[in-house]
Amino acid sequence: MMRRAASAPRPTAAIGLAAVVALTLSAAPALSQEPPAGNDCQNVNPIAGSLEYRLAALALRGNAQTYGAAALTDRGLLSPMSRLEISEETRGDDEGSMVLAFSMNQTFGVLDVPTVEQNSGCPRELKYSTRPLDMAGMSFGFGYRQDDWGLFYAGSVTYSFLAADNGPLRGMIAGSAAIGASYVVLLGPLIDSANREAGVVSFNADYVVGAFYDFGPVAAALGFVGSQGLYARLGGVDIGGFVSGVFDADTGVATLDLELGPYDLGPISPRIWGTRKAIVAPGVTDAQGLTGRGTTEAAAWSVAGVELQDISGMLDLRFAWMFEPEMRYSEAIATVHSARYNAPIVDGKGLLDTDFPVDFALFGGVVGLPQMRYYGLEGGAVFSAGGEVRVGGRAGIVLRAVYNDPARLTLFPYSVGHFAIDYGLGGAF
Amino acid sequence: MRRTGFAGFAGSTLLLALGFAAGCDYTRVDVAQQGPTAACHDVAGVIAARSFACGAGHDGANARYDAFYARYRCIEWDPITTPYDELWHCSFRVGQLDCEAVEARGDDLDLWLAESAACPLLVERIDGTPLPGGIAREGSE
Repeated sequence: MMRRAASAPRPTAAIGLAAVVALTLSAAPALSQEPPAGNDCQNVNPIAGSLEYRLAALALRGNAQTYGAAALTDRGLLSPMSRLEISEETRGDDEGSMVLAFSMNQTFGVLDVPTVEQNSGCPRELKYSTRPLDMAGMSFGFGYRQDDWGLFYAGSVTYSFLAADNGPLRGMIAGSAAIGASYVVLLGPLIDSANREAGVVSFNADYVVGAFYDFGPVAAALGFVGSQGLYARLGGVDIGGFVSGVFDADTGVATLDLELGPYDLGPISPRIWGTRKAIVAPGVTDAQGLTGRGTTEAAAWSVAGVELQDISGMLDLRFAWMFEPEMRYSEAIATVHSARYNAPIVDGKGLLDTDFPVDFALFGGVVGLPQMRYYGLEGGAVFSAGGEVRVGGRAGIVLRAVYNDPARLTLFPYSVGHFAIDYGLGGAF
Repeated sequence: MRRTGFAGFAGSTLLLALGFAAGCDYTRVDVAQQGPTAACHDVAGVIAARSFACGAGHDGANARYDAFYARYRCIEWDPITTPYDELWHCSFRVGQLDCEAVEARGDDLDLWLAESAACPLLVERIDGTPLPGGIAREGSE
């Protein structure tokens, strides 16, 4: 096909004026605009008309929900709090127990967003490019349990920005942002007025405060989430599985999770799981470059799988099949791990477990993705691999690094090629 | 735990992972690599996204994307010598269509592409004829 020459007819001036005003964001992150020495091409604005720009709005809202205070409360506070051993001997003791939980989640390269360079000093051939969208979330919380009742609080900061195209600078920005977040992570009620979403740039502070009561077979928690309102959780400790549902009254999106096992069958311990979530369509972008919330549940994502744990004490095999939106394999992951890797949280002690066990795991395999043209996905299989180190069990110190994290690909299917790092720290005393 | 056993499992897992990796067939649309036609390919994705958002469903949205390429081909623009950002106006306008407008356009892709004067500059029909408002190019039939 012929390439357009310089003398080719140009789009009309009217389009040009409207496009330049409407298609670019003026609120690009200051951090990503720091030019490294000798490079005049760091002042980029995302092109607001692009599909990736619209998908970024979905991604950053998903990031705020997935790695926010409510999520930490669920998995980092209430789960250990409900497992704290309250024996008849200690009941009525004046000394209660504290639970702490910290989580940091970074996702690099969620999307490649088309950008246009604003700096006139940038060579013309470098004016149009793509820049990766990076997202992160930090949350910190604590709970206090006295006999059957308890109180808890958690704060979070989640954010996203266009990354620099320079590796070291990109890492410095991510580190600086994390340090900054650590100063304000608990201040949700005081700083949530600063929450904003400007195209691919977002900042979201949130918090959860509530109370807990252990009825014996089940433990109930009731609280308030700064961003969403009422928070409720009902969980059992000694049940061989759980069903949990989350309904977002604002968007009408429901997520359903089912998990059974693992069951000890001698040589292997199978665990069965399934999940169903809504696939949200990108929203409409207005003239100011803000993308609407999007259509809720334009289709469904349903996956079920089985994980065979502890084969010979050190191998897990995980297979999953997708039923919606396409019938296809979803995951085939093999994990090699240390002996205690799958040990359940028994007493909630976690980090302060007396013997400080160190566990590790290495995993790799493939994740199958459906063809989703509306997400810019051709579909197919992606390679996934990563590793994890834990000190003090599941509720202790956890470090995890993954290329193409299967969990994130479920949440953000368009994030193929991402790299994720998760840090967790928790415990009870 | 026997060390040989562990090495065996580690080796098996690595081979398994490499085998899976060799079977990977995934590719992501890369705007940077698409270069001169990136804005055009983006229009196809945005049409699919708006269709998906407005009730076409998973299959319907994918089908509309395929219909785009069955009917049109992308015109290459040189981003060095043209005001390329102006051409993204097509994606921008198509992406602003509300569901009533999306339903009215349905499978008539010419109507979708009438939304912005930039659209006919991005695509031509597969037989080489320009869309209304487009440019008859040298060599087009």
